Amino acid sequence: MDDPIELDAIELPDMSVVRSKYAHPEWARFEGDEYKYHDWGAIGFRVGDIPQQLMHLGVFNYTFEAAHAPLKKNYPHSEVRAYEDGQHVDVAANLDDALHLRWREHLARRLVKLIAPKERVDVRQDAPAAA
Amino acid sequence: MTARSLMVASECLRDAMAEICSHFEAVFVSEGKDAWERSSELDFEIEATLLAKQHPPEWNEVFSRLDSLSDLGDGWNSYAAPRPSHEAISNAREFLNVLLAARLMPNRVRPSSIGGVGITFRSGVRKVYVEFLNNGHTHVLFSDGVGEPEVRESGGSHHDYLTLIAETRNYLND
Repeated sequence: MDDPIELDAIELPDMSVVRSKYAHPEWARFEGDEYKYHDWGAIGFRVGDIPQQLMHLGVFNYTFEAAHAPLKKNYPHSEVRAYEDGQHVDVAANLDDALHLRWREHLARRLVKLIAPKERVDVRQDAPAAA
Repeated sequence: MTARSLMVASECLRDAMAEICSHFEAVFVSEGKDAWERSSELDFEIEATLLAKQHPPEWNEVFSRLDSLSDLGDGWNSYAAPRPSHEAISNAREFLNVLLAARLMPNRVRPSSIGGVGITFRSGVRKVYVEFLNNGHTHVLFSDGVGEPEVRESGGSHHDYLTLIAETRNYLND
């Protein structure tokens, strides 16, 4: 649990997450109805900790925001998305490699470990009280 | 120039020698300081090639981890992570060979969630992260966990990797 969270584990936007308003951390181990990733860890971050804005080479202005994007079997599903001048962009196709590495590092510094890999936890059945 | 011993009976090293001999011609073209510097690099390259054929046991896990990445499929992280490409794995392997010769073992070798291979070095709060992307590019991040991280692109030659290793050592030991 003390091992740092490394950059290789951090995706780029559109980054899929589950929103804590609607889900407990252990719910992230599910795929559909299957507790498929029962031995995976779970990490989290506050929406306010998302690196919200990055200038790069003094030219482009990227912003990053969380958006609730419910799926058919995953209502808590949300995404961290990237915007260029207010337009949602395909990061993989448009974002400079150096910029996204900086963004991932800034996010990594704010991540919190919620469940350790292989940690056994009780799967709560009811949604969080705030939902 | 001090050449490594060629009096080796091992079959795998004979293969390595055949590969290395082609380099000797390039070394003795010029004279003076340039030749000396290039011969020193060649010594290193020879050693890297030799060690790549039979790496020490403590490096087995590192190379095995890299080899295992070829078995990953798309979506290996349960989301949209592309599998590491052959090019990314090959570039990472070349870098590991040079690391081996330089006696600098990485802390971590893993597939990258954005497609490629990530190699991490850590010392205290400092880290150096080298990412071999599926598109063939290689980027390096230097971070102390506090200040703005430095990111640059790296070339893929032996010389580039030697430079990167020196930078990594300097940064982690600073």
